[in-house]
Amino acid sequence: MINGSECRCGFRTISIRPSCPICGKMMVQKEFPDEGRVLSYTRLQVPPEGFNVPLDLAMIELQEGPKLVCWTESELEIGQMVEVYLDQNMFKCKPLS
Amino acid sequence: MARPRIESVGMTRFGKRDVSFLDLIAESFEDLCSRADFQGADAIFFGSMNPEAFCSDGNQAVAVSDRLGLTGLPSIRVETASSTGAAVIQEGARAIISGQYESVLCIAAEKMTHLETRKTTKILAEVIAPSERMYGATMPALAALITRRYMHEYGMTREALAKVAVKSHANGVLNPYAHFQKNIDEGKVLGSKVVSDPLTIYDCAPISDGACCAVLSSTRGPVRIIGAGQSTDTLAVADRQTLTSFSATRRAAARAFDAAGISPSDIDVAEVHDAFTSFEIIGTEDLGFFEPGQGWRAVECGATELNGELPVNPSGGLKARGHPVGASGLAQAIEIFLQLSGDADGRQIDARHGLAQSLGGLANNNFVTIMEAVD
Ligand SMILES: [Zn+2]
Repeated sequence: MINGSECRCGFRTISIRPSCPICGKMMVQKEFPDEGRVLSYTRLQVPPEGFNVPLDLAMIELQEGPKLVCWTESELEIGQMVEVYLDQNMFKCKPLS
Repeated sequence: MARPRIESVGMTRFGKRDVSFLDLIAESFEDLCSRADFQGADAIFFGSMNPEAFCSDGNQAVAVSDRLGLTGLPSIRVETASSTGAAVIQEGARAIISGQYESVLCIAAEKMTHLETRKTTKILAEVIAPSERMYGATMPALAALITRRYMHEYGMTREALAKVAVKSHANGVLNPYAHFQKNIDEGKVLGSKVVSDPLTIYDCAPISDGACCAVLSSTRGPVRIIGAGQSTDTLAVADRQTLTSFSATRRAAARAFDAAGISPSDIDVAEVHDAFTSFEIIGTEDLGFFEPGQGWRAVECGATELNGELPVNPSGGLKARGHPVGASGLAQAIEIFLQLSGDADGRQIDARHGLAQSLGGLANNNFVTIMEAVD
C-alpha cells in the first residue's frame, strides 16, 4: 500500500498534505493500492547532477486515481499495469508479472 | 472600462550576449527610444525570473530605475516563473486601468548564458514541484512525459513536432531580434541529440539572454489591450486530471476572451509559449483555435505557418527568438504589437486581433493577453 491523502472533493494524491490544492479543505490520510497503469514514460539523457545517466522516469496512475512520477528499471508501454514499490525511500515501478 | 494601449516597444537581440543584465535592459530601452519618442512614465513594472540565482544580484527594481536614469519613479518587480514577462504587461495594464498612472514602462529581462548549462538547468528546475524534482525530473523530462502521452492519445507523429521547430526557425530568419536566424529541416530535428525521448534538442527552446520593454499608456498608441486572463494549476504535474491539456491556459483564455468580447476565431495572429514544440500544439488547442487532438494536424497542413489561416509564432517563438525566461512573455506581446501596428517587416501579417499566451513553470501560472489594432 502507498500512503497518500484524499479530499472530499475527490482530489487524491500520494503526498501527505494538510490541505487540498483544489478546494482548500482538510485532507485525510489514505492508503492506496500499489498497482496502477503507465500513463507515460521517458528516458532523460541530461538529468541534474547526482542522478543516473540516463534516467528512466515514468508517470503512473494508481488504481484509485492518484498519479506519481517515479523511477523504473523496466521497458514500459503506455497502458501497461505496473506495481509501484519503495526502494530506499524512492518509488519505482515494474510491470506486473 | 478604460483599455490601456501599447505606445512603444524596444528589444535587444536575444541570444548569447556578452553584456551585463543591466546593460541588456539599457540596450532594450535605447531601442525603444530610437523607435519612438519616450515621453516619460509614471512608474516602472520590471520582471525577471531569477536574477538572484543567475546573476547573484538583488534589489533589481531599483538597479533598473538607477541604470535607466529614472530614479524617483516607483519601480516594482513582478515574478511568475517563465511567464514573468506576461505578468509584467498585465500588471502594468492593470495599473493604467486603475487610473493611478497614465503611462507605465514595462521591462522584462533575463541573463542566463554566462553560467554552465548544468547550473542553468538546475536553476530552471527549481520551479518544479519537490515531489517530482526529487526524482530528477527536469522541465524537458516532464515535457517529454506530456508529449509521449499526447502522441498516444491523439496519434500525433514525431514528424509533426519537427514541423513546429522547422516553422519557428523559418520565422526566426525574418526576425532581426531572434536568437536563431537560420533555417533547419525536419531531418535536422529528428537526427539531433535526444534530450528526453521523444524530445530532441531542437524541440526545446534554447537558453538565451535578452531584454525587452514597452510603454503602456491610457491614451496613446496604435494597439489596445482588450483582454487579459491569468490562472494557476497545481504545482505538481502528477496532481492534474490530464497531461495533454493545460487547464490554467483554458481558464486564462476564457477570462481574456470574455473581457475582449471576441472569440478564438477572431484572432488573426498568436504568440504561443513553445518552450517545447509540443507545448505550441497543446497551446493552440487550449486557446480554442483547434479541437483537442487536432492541433498537430493543423501544423501538418500548414495552418499555423506565416501564410496559413492562423499564423502562430511569427517571431520564431521561444524556439527561435530565444527564451530568456523572464523576458519571453513580454517579447511575445511586443511581437503582437509589431504585427498589429504594421511594423513586422518581412514577417508582416495582415492582422487586427492578436493574442499572446505564456506559461509559468510547468504550465501552472499561465497568462493570455488579447490585443487589437486601434483604427
Ligand atoms: Zn479538495
